[in-house]
Amino acid sequence: MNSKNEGIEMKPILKQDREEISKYDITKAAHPGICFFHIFFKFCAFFSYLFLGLIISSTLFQYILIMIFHSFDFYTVKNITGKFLVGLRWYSDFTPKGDEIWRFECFDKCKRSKIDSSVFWTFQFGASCAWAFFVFTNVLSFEFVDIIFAGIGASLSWINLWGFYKCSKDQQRKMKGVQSYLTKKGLQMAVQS
Amino acid sequence: MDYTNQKQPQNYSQMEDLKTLDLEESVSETIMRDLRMIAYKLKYVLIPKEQEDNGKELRNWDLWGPLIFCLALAMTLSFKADSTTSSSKSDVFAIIFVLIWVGAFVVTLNAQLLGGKVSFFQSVCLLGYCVFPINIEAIIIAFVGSYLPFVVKLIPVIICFAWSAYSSVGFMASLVPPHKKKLAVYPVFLFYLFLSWFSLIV
Repeated sequence: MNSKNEGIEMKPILKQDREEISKYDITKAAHPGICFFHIFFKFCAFFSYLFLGLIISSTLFQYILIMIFHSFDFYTVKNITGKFLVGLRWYSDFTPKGDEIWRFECFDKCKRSKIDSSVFWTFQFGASCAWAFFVFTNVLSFEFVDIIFAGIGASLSWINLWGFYKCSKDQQRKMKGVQSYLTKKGLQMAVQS
Repeated sequence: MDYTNQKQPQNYSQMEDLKTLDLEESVSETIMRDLRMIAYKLKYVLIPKEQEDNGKELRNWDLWGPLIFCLALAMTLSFKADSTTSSSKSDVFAIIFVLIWVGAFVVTLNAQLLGGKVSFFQSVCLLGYCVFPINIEAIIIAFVGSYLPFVVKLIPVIICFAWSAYSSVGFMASLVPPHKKKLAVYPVFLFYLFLSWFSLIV
């Protein structure tokens, strides 16, 4: 029992030291495999958009692969990565009346670390900006087909970014709510005692 | 509320319970659940006998099904396309892709402008799922089309077009006021007619 307790206490201290050295050290993240896939599909999408023309001569397969990578990236970030890395979720729901509403939720009980969330936000924001830049350059050079694929990439990335941003605002509001509740409780107890 | 059959939703009003459960779901469970939902919606949309409540099941829309069918149709038609120049194949892919999504957008916009009260995404989801019969027809023609005369090829085209149109018209017509039904339904016919014809001649 004693050695087990020591082992558990030791890990967080080590993690904090390493975090200061490198916020993006994936091997120390709570979910290294999921971090990898978060980055992998984005990388594949960019690689196939920029360089696949040099490897495969058929433009048809290039288009197919780009679309597949875009959709895999969107699905992974929305359903898997967001849930495991930052504990957030957004989706559309319907009220009993039949109206459609959007829900933005955060999970409290979820194994998270600073590395996970910094990897998530950096790469999502970076990818969104990069796709927006590609759309801009394609519009300036009138390359119609490239606009479609860069545009799809940009819109999917920004939609995810917006959804998770709204979730994180909800999370911050919850944290503030919890803090104010605790301070109220503390004051009440102090007054009563 | 029935909590027993939570793995496979028979009724989407039970989705509330499912959503709180999937905090602990593993990745493979998430993916399988989504695939099962796509299959369930496909069956619901395309087999008219199962439609009892006229569209309430569609409220839980998703765009993954339409994306899969759109990609499949675009790939089938572009593989079959004229292979003398590689650019025409990719043109066919891009045309089909843009056509399906822009077409669904325009048809939905038309229904909304006519006073229909439906969520934008629900309607796009429905139109996308109803592309599936055209997928079937494109695959049939791709495999056996070169051996058959044109008239024989028309038969699966007409059957699948009628199937798509019938499935989607039921929903679309129920959305708008009765005196505007034909105005809402006419673009849907055009949309599927064009897709069927395109898959025949490519």
